[in-house]
Amino acid sequence: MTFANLPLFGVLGGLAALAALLFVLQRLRTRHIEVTVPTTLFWLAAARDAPVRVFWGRFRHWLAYLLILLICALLWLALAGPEAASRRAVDFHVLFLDGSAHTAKPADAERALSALKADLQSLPTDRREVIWGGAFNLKLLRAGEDALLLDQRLESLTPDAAPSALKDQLRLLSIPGAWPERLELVIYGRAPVDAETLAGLPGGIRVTRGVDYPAPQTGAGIVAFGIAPALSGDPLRVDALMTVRAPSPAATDVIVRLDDAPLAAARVKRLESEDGRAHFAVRDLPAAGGVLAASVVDAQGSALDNVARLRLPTRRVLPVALAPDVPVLIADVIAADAGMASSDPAAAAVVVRRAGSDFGAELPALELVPAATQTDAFVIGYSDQDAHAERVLRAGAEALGLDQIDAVGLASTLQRQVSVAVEPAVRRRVAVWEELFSAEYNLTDSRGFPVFVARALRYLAADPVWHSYVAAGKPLPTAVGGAPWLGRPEPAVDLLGAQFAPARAGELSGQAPALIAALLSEDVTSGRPGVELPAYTAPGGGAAQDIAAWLALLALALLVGEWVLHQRGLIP
Amino acid sequence: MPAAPTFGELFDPEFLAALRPFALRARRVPMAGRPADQTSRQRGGGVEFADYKAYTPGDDLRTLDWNIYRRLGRLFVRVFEERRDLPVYLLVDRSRSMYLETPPRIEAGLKTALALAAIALAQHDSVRLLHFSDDLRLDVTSAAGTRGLPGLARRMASLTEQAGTDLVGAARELAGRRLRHGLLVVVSDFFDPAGVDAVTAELALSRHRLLLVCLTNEADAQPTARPDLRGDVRLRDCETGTALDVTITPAVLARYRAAYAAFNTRLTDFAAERGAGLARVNTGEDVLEQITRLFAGGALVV
Repeated sequence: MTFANLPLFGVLGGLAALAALLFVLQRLRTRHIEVTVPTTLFWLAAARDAPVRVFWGRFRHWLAYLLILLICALLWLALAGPEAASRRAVDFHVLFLDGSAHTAKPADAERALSALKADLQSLPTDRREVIWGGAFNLKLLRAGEDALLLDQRLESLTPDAAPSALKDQLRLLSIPGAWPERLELVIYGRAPVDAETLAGLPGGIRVTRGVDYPAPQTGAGIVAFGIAPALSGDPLRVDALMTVRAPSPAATDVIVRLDDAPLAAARVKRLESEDGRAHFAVRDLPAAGGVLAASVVDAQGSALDNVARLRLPTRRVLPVALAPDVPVLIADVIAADAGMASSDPAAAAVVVRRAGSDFGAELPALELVPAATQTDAFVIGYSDQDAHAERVLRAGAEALGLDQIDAVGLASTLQRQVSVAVEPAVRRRVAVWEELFSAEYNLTDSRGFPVFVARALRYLAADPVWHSYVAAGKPLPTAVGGAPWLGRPEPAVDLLGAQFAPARAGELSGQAPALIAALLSEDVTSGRPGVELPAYTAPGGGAAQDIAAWLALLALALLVGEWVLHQRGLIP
Repeated sequence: MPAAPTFGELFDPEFLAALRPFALRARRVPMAGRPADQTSRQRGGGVEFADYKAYTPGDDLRTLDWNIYRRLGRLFVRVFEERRDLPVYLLVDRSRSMYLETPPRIEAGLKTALALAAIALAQHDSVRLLHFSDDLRLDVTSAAGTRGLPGLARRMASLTEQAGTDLVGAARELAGRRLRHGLLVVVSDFFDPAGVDAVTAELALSRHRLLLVCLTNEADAQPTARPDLRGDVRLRDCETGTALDVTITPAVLARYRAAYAAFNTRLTDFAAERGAGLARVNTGEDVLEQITRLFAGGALVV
């Protein structure tokens, strides 16, 4: 036998206290009510052989005491909420109120909240807590806190344009020793659970659903929205691609706006589709840092996936100043790259020069160095601002395109080891053996040569990076452009090397210009229910309530019996 | 505290009119006294023929029966019943117990006393009102005739609550007074702390005819009729102030009823032994109805 509302020691302690209290009360109830009578003559004769009880006198009414004790004990046990041990499978309840885009529709959210409030009443406060599962998991009610606080704490919360954080919560609950062994997580909302996640949970955790929605959520929504370098080859433009999931994809149109100005419908091209979804493309959008928004019209599903926004990158033609004595091959590479242009040193962002030259001395430089004066074939200098450059460089020098160079062939031809080194410098520089640019080595003939030159120059120019898409709840993809392995830690990787994922759709703070994340959740738009979960059954609605009701009825019957006995004068 | 009846409540013409058919007859009337309606042993100048007696010198010649003389040749005179008045002494209990309950016993007691006074005055008897609690007080002596009734009622209405009951002392005090023999009507609950035996013993010494009017109510015989008399109670005697703690159980109630029954039996036995009248007047019932039942044959002989 266990108890839903009180711990066992509380029940036993309460029973003992009741017994003591009733005993004292039984004694104390020998307080006489004063009644004035015309004469006590007859009472004197009547009471002569029947002495009255006195305070702390001999206890004479054991039957009455045991009867009232039994009645009180039954009521106390009913209050404690007894449960048959076999029916009691859970020590603690975590009520998870889904605040993600899955349950963003007001009707869904209201239903979830109503069900949660109703179930909250039947759970003991010290054995439940309530979690808000929006972009982040937030504890709404701790164990022991009164349910009255819930409304106040929900006042500032609305469903987030974010995928569900339920998985994170389940991961937390799986931490050994952090939670009671027998735990039930009740989901209030449409947040789906994967079979894989469920399978990974410890045996004591049970996941149920507190609300049974009649039909899965269906509607249209943007599930993919990204950009790529323009197919036209224009370095200052990008192409935008978007995918819409809808009940009838062929009849679904997407509206695209750039900086709030709608684009002509003709610019939005519908692409061939074989996966039942609608794909669209907008070509040659100016990469000038504008905000591109795509939206679909949908009245059925969640409104949060009907609009997606992203910030276009800012690209420019890189001005490069070439010293007169550098090999002409480098000038050819620059001329062939539409993203770069030759310039005089005054207007240039980077220079290419031989070592020791003061050509563009104040600018980051690609320097050609005699092999005799430099041990390593490639030396990459980084400034103090590039705090993490060394770590990143050591992890992969291939990022400079060096992996595309036939280093082995070079080494055998040179009869020297071809190596890459990094070193701190006043400003960025890349120093390369000038001999490598001569025709007797195969570097200039290799396909990696223009890549190396282009990437090296963009590294030196510290070109800003950009991402092909930014989706809520998903790690940022590998950055495009610039030298993503250098410079400041890019958003995708934080100081600890963890992947960064925007929590919710919208502008990301801490960036300039701010990145804009979109929801882009296939699960939200499709209304995928995930694994079918068993329905939650409140403990108060089962055997516990039955036992408590029977105990209360029995107490009532005994009370009636006591009244009858009292009326008949069998007990005082 | 319940109040005693006012003069208006006591002197109710309808109530008094309803008493007219009733008469109060004494088995024995004192020889002396004023002519009235009570039949006395005394023979003399009445109007009701009683007997013959041989003529003796000095007898009233008007009473000679000449028919007998003609038949027998001897002189006989007719003698007549002398009708005298009966002194009625109303001894009313003014102790606190008479004023305690609702309605108070004094109300029924005074109404009964006034009714008896009215009946007595209507038959030209004299009535005296005496009242007692811890002491005896002689008060009003009414003149014969119904004209004295309002004054008597007014005096009754002015009676106030006194302390304890000392019926034994009052009876003794009354016996010590040189009052003409008459009818002593004791209107009381007879709850004398000395006990009913002491009361009856003292009343047995009285030279008067006795009519005991015992005022009762339902709770006397059935204490549970009072809702507050349950469980553990501290009974406070309204007159003596003494307290008695009692746990009211069926056994205690049974003993109480036995004690009360013994009290009543003692009064009844005393009345029977002494040839006294005993009337139990329930304060919860209509007094007139009870008096009517008492005077069922039209006259109450005491």
